[in-house]
Amino acid sequence: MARCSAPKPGSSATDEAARLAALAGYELLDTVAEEEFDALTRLAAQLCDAPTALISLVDAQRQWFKSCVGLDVQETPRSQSFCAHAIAADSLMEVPDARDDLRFADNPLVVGPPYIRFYAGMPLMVAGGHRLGTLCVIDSRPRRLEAAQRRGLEDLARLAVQLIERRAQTRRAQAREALLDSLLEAMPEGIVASDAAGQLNLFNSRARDWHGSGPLATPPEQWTARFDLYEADGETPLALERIPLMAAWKGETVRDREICIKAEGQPLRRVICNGQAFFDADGTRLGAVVAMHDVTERARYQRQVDGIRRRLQAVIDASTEVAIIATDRVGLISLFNPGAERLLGYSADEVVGHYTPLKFHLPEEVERHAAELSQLYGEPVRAFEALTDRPRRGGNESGDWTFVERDGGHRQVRLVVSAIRDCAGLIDGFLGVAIDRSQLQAMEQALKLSEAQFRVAFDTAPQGMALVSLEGRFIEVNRTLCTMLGFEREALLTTEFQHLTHPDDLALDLDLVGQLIRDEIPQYQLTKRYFTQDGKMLWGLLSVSLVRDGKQRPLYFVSQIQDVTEQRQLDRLKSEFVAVVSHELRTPLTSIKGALALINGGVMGEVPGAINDMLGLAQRNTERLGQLVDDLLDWEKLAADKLAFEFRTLDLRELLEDALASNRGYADSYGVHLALQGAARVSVEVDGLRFGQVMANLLSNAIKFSPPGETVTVDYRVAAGRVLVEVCDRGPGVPEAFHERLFQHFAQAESGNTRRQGGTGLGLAISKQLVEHMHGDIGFDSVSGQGARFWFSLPVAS
Amino acid sequence: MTGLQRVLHVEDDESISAIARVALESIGGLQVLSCTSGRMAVEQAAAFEPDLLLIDVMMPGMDGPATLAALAGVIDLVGVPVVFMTAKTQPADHQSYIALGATAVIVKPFDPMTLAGKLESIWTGFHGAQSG
Repeated sequence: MARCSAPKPGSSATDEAARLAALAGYELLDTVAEEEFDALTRLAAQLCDAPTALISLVDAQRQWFKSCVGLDVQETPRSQSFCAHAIAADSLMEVPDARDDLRFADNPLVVGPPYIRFYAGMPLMVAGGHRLGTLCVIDSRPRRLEAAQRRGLEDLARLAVQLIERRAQTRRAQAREALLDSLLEAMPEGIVASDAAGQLNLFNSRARDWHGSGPLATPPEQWTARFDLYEADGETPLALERIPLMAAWKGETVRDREICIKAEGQPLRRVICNGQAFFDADGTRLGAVVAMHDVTERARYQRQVDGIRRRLQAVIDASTEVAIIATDRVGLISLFNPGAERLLGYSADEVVGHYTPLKFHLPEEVERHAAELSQLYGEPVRAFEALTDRPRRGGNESGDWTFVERDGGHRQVRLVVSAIRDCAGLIDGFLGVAIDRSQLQAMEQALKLSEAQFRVAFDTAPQGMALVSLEGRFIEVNRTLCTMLGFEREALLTTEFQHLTHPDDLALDLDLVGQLIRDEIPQYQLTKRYFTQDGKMLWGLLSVSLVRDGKQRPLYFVSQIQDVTEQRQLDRLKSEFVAVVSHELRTPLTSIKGALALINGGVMGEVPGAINDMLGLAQRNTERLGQLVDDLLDWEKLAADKLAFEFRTLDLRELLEDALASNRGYADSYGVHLALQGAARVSVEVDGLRFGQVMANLLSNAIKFSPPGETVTVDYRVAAGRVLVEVCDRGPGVPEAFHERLFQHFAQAESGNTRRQGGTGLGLAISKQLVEHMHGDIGFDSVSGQGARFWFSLPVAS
Repeated sequence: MTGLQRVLHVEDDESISAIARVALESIGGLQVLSCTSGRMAVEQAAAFEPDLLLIDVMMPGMDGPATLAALAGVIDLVGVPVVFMTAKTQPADHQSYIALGATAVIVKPFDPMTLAGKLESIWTGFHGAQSG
């Protein structure tokens, strides 16, 4: 009698493992009793007239009873199991008397309670051919089943198998539904669905969040308002037929439709919708579902990227002097800016997506460059790689190339190629920037020409010219300067201007240099003394300007030096001549004037009438000659800047009163009255003597030109820190043609034979100089025939 | 002290010298010693005992300042005002003469009708300042 706990011969261990796995998969073991199974065992017991009926499942170590009639245990060891034997075959196994069967004769359940004698078990064979256990009946008396009982037990076993299969299907369906539910809830997308009638029946949690509520029993015409649905513009409410779920329910396949949700208390949400209706096997519509993907952040990011792209595009488009060509990673042109169009004569439409930049290169140049790179890196480099090899290796390809234009012409360009890399550092394309070298060359040539012209002008200039370093060293000197200073060029270039400058002139020169460097003055002129190579002194008129670089940093000085030694000597001679002549004239004048004064004063006794007239004439002309000498001396001193001024703060009204008093005698001789207006007390800082000289000049002019009996009026007023003094007469006025040169020296309205009034022609010119030396202005207004108004203004003393 | 009476006039130009002499004697009633050079003045000054010296600045040989210096060696200049006469009109020149010891400066060409009055007023001012 053999105990059998192992599979029968012929069934492999692999089969048994698969069977055990299938058994576990049905999830029947160790579950609670179920009425449907219990009904089957009751029927089996009744049908077979047996006290015990079981639905037994054979596990690895035991048999476990899913349903059990007539036995009060739930399981027994597999070693004692009859069923373990029954499942070895497809058909019913019947044991009439266990005592006679070697397999069971010594089975504890046979030799002891419950003293099994009879067993009949039908295997429960499920999908896949696995026999999980049996539906069996057991009796304690030996017997046999009748044929009808046998068929009935087989039918009941098939029912049990159906029950097991259906139970498993139900459980699988439940699990799938639970999985789907949790999936829906966990999804980042918002999911909405409607049923066959088009009523909303599902919002997942994301959809509930976005809409601020669940599906509710809302009729479709209220969906837009209830769930805050808008078109992609964020403004227009969605029409019913435009609502993705409604469209899907009506049979449309919704693909990537963008809408906006503006739920209360939430920012505008931009979503992309995909959806469709779903049907059963018969084609009957069961409902529709739509998935919504939130692209709010992506859209915002996209707008930023678009903005950057537009700005970049504007820069590229505006670069008309620079050709910018971009390619994808295999070299196909993806960008061709207006600069490139201009340089090469192609339009962007012609080349973008159609060609690689090789189209613009001379093949022999590319091949030559490829050969060089091949040799450099010891590996073959071909065609387009010749331009992109260095960028691929992380560098830039920079060099001069010949570009072939659309019409076949050639252009020399400077080209720089770099790689465009994505955020992961992988090459996404290439960028080439090219500049027309012929333009650069033209500029260089123009510069050279300009330099050459400057050089010629510099060398042949009639005055001395030099470029001088900021420290004072001569950087470059022209021939005239060398000749002027008596130096060889090389010797002068090792010299500093300070060493050639007279010590008395150096401080002023250096002060002006400092002002120039500090940008306080744009340039300066200075007459100064230089020492020549042989120790002689020369006077130079120096003009200096400063050259600065693009950042306004001082670079060097440009100096022009004109030899004015001779001119100065002439000036000095002229000054001396005037001074000597004036002085020598003054001595005899003093005698003549004195003698006439004594005679006319009656000191020498009475003079006969006819002689008296002639003596008066002599005296007036002597005075005129004296005035001429005085004016000449003053003019000379003013011209040489040697007229000294003694500034004092003086009362203006007193000065004017003195002036009127001094000139009253002269006015009387012309029968002209003098009147002073203005009463303000104001001080001016002037040289009293020179002020009187100005007034005397203006008054004498006014008196001379006034008709007898008229009044010359002197007026003054204060405004804006200055005093204005006016001398007005009622004479013929200043002729229009004479206005412009009235203040020039030796200017007189009349000349030659028509000269009517006395005067030197220097008076107004001297007055102008004197007023200006006293920080004032002078001028006049006059309408011919209506008198003249001469005025001067001076600053009020602080 | 009885007022200005004797004027020593040093002037190389004879015409000017003559006019000054007439002006001072006839109009001012003064006693004048006219010298045509500094040297002549130095020789005659002590005997003349002048109350005031009127000296031309620009003269050949001894100029005005040199004449003044020489005269200081032969007469006591205390109480004798010195007046320089010059064709120079610059205030700076006048200042330099004052610095040399001149009391006043009269500019050429001068008005002979008022010359005596000017000298008298200088003399009076000088002595007023000396006694005051």
